[in-house]
Amino acid sequence: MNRPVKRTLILGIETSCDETAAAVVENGTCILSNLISSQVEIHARFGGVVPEIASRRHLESINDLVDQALREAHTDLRELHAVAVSNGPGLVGALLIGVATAKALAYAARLPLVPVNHLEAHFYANFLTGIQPAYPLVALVVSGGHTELLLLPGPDKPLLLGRTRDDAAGEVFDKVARALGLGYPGGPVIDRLAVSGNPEAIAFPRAYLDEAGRYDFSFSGLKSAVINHLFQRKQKGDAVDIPDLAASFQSALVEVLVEKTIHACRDNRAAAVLMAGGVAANSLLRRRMLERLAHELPGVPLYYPPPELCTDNAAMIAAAAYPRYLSGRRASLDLNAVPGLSTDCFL
Amino acid sequence: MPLVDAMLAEAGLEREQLNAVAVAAGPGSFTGIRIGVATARALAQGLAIPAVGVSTLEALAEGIAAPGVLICPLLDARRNQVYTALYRREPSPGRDLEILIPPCAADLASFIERLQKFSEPVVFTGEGVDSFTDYLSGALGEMASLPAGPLRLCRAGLVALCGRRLLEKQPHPSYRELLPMYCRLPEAERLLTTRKE
Ligand SMILES: [Zn+2]
Repeated sequence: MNRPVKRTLILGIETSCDETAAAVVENGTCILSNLISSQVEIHARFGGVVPEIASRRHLESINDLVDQALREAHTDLRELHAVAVSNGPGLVGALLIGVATAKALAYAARLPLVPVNHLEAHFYANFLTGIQPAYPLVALVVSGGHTELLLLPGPDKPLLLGRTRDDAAGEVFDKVARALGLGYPGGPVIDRLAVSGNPEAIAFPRAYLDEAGRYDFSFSGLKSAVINHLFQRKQKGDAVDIPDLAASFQSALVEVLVEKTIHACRDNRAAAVLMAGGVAANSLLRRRMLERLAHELPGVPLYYPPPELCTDNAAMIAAAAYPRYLSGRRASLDLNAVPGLSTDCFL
Repeated sequence: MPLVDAMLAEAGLEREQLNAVAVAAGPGSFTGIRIGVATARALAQGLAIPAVGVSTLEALAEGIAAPGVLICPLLDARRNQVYTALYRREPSPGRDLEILIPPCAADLASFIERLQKFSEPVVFTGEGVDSFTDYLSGALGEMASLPAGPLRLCRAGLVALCGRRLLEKQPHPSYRELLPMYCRLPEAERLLTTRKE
């Protein structure tokens, strides 16, 4: 008789912003369940995420989500190997719900507790699609909350190369969309409108920064330029060509993201590129990255997760926990939420 | 959690031997009560045992043994308010607490006016008393009785005691129904409603 293949089941818990999520993942790669309870509509009437309301909702839904995640995965707490939770970065009150829940569950079921950095978890979402990329690899994490370039010499030791000095890329998409009256979230609608626009219609600035900021980003200048442009048009009573503006803005932002990622790949002889976070779903970003890689670094593949794994979820927390679980990383019972948690290299 | 672990070790118990969890569910600091409630819910879920939420104010009142008198717990609620309630311990055999005014966030001055209408001695308890000692004696004179500081603290033992009373009445409460007793809307929601009015 064949011995059963070793299965490592990890329960992931995620509450860092406005999505409550629980998931069960096998061996860091196979999703057995992945549940999300979104609060987008609740916060919409306030025009943004209200931390106190987010925290209240997390507490009301997290235990049921855990139950459901276990049930859908046809398992229970006793069969798990670990509980993983993102303890930062994020909203402190929101993170605390996930952390308190994960600690008590792990304690009650006598399971190891594995802490996960939410930001790192985003690129582990890639491993849930079954890919096995070569190392070293460069990861670009871009969403409404982050814009970071990371280098992974191996599967479990990410190094932060650079990050945004002001707004996150997704945040700029949202702010520009709001200025254009296009609603929230801004990424998908700008992406769609840009298709019929001329990306060279308006020359928006691209901030490449000095040598010290080789891998850093700054998008506040671009954001102001777009808003100023709109304001001046309005003052003169000129019509604004929204597709042209969307295309020109998007192309300026994407060009910087791609340029810096290509630099990081060259400098570190990367064998692969990973993208993650909500903005990784942007069609121009994907296309430009593929074109530049094919042209300048042939043979270096590009990976990005499907859209549902680009946004916040708990499967990515469980996936990120897997290599940490194997290497013996454990949190003690006094694990705390760290709203400004940086990547491992700075701990 | 480290406290729960140490407490069980000192009591010589394994976590699996627990029959139920009781938690002080508020009112109090929003974040503070949420951590307690989240911990209690997940402990109950993980151990498959019942969980009950106890009002912090009732647990405080539980610490005052005298039958018949009015008991008024006070907690500082910031923004010039207190979290408070009014109880009377029944002289009957069960000596249960009768709720005269349910937990609420109130201006101390207007709450004292309500207390004066009872024209009965009131025993105050809770950490909120510290800030208002002079005020309470001034407003109620001989009618206000203020126990010494250590007697006014909310202890986990009192929470467990209240929890047991609740469990006797309703033996299998699920952690699903255990939620914080905030006694107050989130600030953003309050502003939204006042703006509409
Ligand atoms: Zn995120």
